[in-house]
Amino acid sequence: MDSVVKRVTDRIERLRLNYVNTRPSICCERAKIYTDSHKRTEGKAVILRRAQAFHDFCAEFEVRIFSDELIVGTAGKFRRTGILTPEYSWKWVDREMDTFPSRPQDPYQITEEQCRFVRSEIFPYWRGKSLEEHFLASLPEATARIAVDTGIIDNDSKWRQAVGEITPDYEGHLFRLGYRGILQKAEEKLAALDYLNAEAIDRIHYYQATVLTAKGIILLANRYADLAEEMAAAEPDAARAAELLEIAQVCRRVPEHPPQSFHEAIQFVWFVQLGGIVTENPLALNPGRFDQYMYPYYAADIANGTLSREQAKELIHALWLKFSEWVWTISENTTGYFAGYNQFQNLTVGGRKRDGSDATNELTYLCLEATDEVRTHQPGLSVRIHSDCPHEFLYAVTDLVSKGTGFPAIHNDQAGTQMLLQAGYEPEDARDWNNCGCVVPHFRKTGQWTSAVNVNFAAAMEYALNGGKSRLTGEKLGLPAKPVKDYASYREVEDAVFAQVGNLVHHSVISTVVAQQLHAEMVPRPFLSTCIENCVETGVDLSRGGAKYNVGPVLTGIGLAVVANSLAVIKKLVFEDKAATLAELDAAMNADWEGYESLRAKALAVVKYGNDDDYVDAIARDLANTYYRTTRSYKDNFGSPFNSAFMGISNYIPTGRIVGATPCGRKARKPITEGVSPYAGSDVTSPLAAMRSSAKMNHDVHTGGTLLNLRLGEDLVATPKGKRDLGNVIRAYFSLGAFHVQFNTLSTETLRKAQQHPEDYKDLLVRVAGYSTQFVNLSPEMQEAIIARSAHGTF
Amino acid sequence: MQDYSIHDGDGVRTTIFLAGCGLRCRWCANPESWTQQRKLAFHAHKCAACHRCAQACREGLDPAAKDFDPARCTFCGDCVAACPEQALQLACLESGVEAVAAKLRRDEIFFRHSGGGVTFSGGEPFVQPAFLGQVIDACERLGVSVWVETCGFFAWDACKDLMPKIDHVFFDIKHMDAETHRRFTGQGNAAILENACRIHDLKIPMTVRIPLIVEVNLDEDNLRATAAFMRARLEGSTIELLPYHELGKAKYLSFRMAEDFHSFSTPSAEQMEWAYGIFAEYRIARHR
Repeated sequence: MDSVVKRVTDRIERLRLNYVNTRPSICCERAKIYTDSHKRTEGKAVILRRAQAFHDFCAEFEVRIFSDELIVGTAGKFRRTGILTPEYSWKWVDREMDTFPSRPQDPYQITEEQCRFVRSEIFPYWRGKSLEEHFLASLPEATARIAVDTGIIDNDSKWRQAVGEITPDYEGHLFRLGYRGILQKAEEKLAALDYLNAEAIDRIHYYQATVLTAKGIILLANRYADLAEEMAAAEPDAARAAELLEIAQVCRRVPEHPPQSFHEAIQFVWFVQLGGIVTENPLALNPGRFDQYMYPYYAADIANGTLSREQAKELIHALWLKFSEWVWTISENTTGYFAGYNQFQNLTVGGRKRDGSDATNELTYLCLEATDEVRTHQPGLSVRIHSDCPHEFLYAVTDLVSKGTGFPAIHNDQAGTQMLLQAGYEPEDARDWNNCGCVVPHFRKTGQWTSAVNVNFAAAMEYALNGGKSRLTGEKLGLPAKPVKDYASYREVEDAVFAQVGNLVHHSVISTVVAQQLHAEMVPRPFLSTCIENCVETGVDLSRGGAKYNVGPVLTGIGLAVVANSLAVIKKLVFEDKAATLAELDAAMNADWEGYESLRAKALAVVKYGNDDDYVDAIARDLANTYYRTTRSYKDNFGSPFNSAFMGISNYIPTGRIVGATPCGRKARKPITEGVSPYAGSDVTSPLAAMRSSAKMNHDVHTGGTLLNLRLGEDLVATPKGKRDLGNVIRAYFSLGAFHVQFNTLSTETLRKAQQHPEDYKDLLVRVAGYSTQFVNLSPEMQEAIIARSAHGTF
Repeated sequence: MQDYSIHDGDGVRTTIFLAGCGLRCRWCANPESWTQQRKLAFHAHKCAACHRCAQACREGLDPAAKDFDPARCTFCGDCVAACPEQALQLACLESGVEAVAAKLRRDEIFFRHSGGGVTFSGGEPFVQPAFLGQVIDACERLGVSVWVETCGFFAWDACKDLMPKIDHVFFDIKHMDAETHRRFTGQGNAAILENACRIHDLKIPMTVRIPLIVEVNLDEDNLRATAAFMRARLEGSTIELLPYHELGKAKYLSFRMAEDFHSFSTPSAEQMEWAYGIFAEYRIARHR
C-alpha cells in the first residue's frame, strides 16, 4: 500500500482516502427537485416533463466544490452520494430505506429525518405513477410468478431502475458539437417542423426536450464556474485560488463548447456522466474508448507544453475518483446481482482503430498506470488485445494483473468485432467497439439493453428433474414435467432440461418487451439521447429506437457449468455405468445429499466442466448453442433479435439460493456458476484446461458477451518471464476464439487476512465477476465465494 | 503431468514427471518418485474419519489407519473413489505414450504462443529410456520442444541415442566432493560428472542446477569447485541456483515416509546473491 501512496500526488491521496473511508450517503435533493418540477408540469408530454425536471435540477441544485477537487460536479450534496429516482420506483426504497445503513451488501447512510421527508414529501406524489407499479400491473400473471424477485428470471434492474447501458459518443458527436451545437441543431430542426401529424409532434417534443436539456447542462456548468470564482476570491491559498480560477474557466467552456484542452475534455466527460446520473441513476454509463477520443487533446497539450505527463495523470486519477465516488442506488435484491457499489462504467483501452490498424497510444498506458496507482473500483477497465498489438502493451496488461486488483478485463479484439458483425454492425463500427458494463461488446451509436434478464439455468434443470416444481418450496414454476424416474434415456433428460430453459427464455422475453414498451411511454431519456448522434439527427428518443443501432436485449444464462456438470453425472452414473438410478439421485437431492455421501462422492468424481474433457464440455456447448438459437428466435419491440450471453456480475449467488441440491454434487442454496467459468473449485486440472473448456463454447455467437474468471497463484506472475508467459497464454486462449478472461491473483492467505482485518485491507480490490470491487465491501457470503474459486498455483 | 509450468524452461511448459531415481537425496521434495510402483497418499487433515475407505477395501485394509501396511495394498483405487473428502490419492500411475501425446496435443496451442514445450523431470527421466524415447518421438511429431531435467545419475549407453533430440538439459550438480555427495545422496558423483561432460560434448545447451542447501553445499570451496568444473568442462553452460524449501514435507507425511524426512535450512536472498556472485567471477551466466 505504501507504493500507492508514493505514486500519486498528495492531493490525489487525500481524495483517495476520503473515497476509501467514506460510506456513501443518500441525497434527497434530486428527488425533491424532480418531484416538485413534475407537479408543475402535469399534462405535458412526458419527455418534456423529464427534460424540464432536469433543467430545474441544473438551475436549483446547490452546487458544491469540495476541497482538493480538480474535476467538479456531484449529483448530490455529498462527495460519495447516491440519489433517489422515484419515477422509476419508490416502493422498494420505501420498503428498504430504514435498513439502508445496516444491510449487509452495499449499505448507504440515510437519516431518519430524510426517511420521514421522502415518505411525506416525495413518495405520495409518485404513488401509482412509477415505472415499477405500471410494470407490475402490466406483466401477465404467468410471467410475474417467475420474474418478480424470484431469482428464476430476474430483470428488476429494468423496472426498478433506469436502463443506463449507453456509451456517449464523444469522438463523433459530443466533442464535435458541444452542447451549444446540439442546442442549435435542435432549434434548427424545430424551425423546420410543424404539428401536422403524430410523428412530427413526437419529434417536436423531442427537440424541445433537447433544447431544455442542453440549456440545463450548460447552466449547471456555469453555476460551477460562478462558484469556483467566488471560492477563488475567498481562498487564502494562492495556489488553490489559481486552481479554482482554472476550474471556473474550464466550466465556462465545457460542455457548452467543444473542449480545447485535455483538462476541458476530462471535465466534459464528467459533466456528461453527471447528467446521466442525475437523470437516470444509471447502470453501465460507459466512458468507452477513452484513450482514443482523449488522445488528440493529450497529444496537443503535450506538444504545446501546456501539460506534462504527470499532470495528465493527476487529472485521470481525479476522474477515476469521480467515477468511483457516486453510487448507483439499488435495492437489496439488485445488490445480490450487482454487488460492490458498482456502477459498471466501463472504460476500454487498446485494440484497433476503425481502419483496423493498432490503436495503442500513450494514453492507453496512462490508463493502466492510473488504475494501478489510484486503486479505485471504477472505471471498469477493459483492454482489447489483438493479434498485432504491441508486446509492451500486453506486458503492461499482465503486469497490472500481477498487482492483484482484478483489473483489467482482458478481451479478444477480433472476437468483439465478430460479435458486432454478427449483430449487424457495419465493419468500421464493428472494429470500433467498447465494452458496456462488464463484458458486453458495445458501441457509441447503440441503444441496447445489454443486461436485460438473468436466466437461471439451474432452476430450469430443477423443474425438469422435479416434475416442474421447485425442490425447495414445492411450488410449480416450470413447464409440466414427468416424474424423474420415468425418463428412459439421457437424451430425454437433456431435452426436458433444454425445454425448461426455453420456457424461461419465453417469459424473459415477455418481461423484457413489457418493460421496453413502458420505458418508451413513461421514462424517455432526453439527456442520454443528446449523447447519441442519431437521436439528435432524427429527433427520436433512445427509448423509442433513436440510435443508429438498436440491438436486441441480452438474456444472460447463469449456471451453464452447474447444468452441464449435472447432466454429465446423470449420463454417466445413471445411463452408462448404472451406478445409480434417477430415483436414487432424486432422493439424494431431496435430502440435500444427507445420508447419500457415497453417491455424492461418485457424483463429484464424474469429470466436471473446466478440465478440458469433452465428455462434459460438449454438453455445455450443446446447452449454450441451444440457448443461443432459442434466444435469437425472439424479437424485441424494435424488431431486433434477442441476444444470448454468459456474463457474470454477481448473479451466480442469488440465483443459487433458490435452487436445491443438483446432481453435480452441489448442495442446496449454494452459488451456481457465472459466465462460461467452471464451478468454483471444480477446475482442478489447470487454468489452461479451464481456458480450453471455455473456448469450446462458440463465443462469437453470444453477442451479449461471455466471461471467464480465473484465479492465478501469485507466483505465476511474480517475474517478468511469468508476465510474458501469461500474455502468451492469453494470446493462445484468444486464438481459440474466446472473448474474455480476467484474473484474480490474490492468494487465499491474503484474502483470509483481509477478512480478519478488514480495516487494513480497505483498498484490496478483487474481481467479482465482470468487474472488480473492494473485497471488504462484499458480504461475508460473497467473500467466501471469492475464496472458494480455485486458486491455481504451480507448485 | 503438470501444465502451465513456467519455472522449468522457456515459455509455458508441461512438465512430465517420470518415476524412479537412483539417488536418495536427503532434501528430496518428491519422495514418492524414488521408485516406480504405485503408491497411496493419505492426506490426514482432510480425513473425516467416516471409514468409507476401509469399507471399500477388498483386502480388508484401513487406508486411514496409522498401521496401514502398503505392502498388502494392491493400489486398486477403490478407497480413493469411496472417499468423499478427497483425502486419498494414487501416485505413480502408469501412463501410455498415446495418453501423454493426447495431453500434449491439447497443450500445444499454449506452447506455440509462448515458445514453450515439454520438460521431463522426475524422479529421474533417464531411468526409463525406452518410454522416454517414445514420448520424445511423439514430441518430435507434434513439433514440441523437449527439455530434460536430470540428476545425472543414469546409464549413459541406454540413453545416448536420445540426447540429440533434446533441446536443453537442466543438469543437477549437488556437490563436487564425492564423499559428501555420497553421504547426502547415497551415491558418489563420478558417473554424474562424467555424464555432464558427455552431454556437453554433444553440444546440447545445458543449465547446471544446484539445489542450494545451507548445511550441504553452500560453502565457498564447493561453489568455486563447481564453477571451476563448469568453466573447464561445461563451457557455455549457465547456472541456476534453487533455494532449498520444506514444501516437500507434506508429501513425506502423506506417503507415510516421515522417517525419511530431513530438515535443512533455506538460504537467505543475500546468500543466494553471494553464491551467484561466485559463478559470475568464473564468467558463468545465470539461466534466465
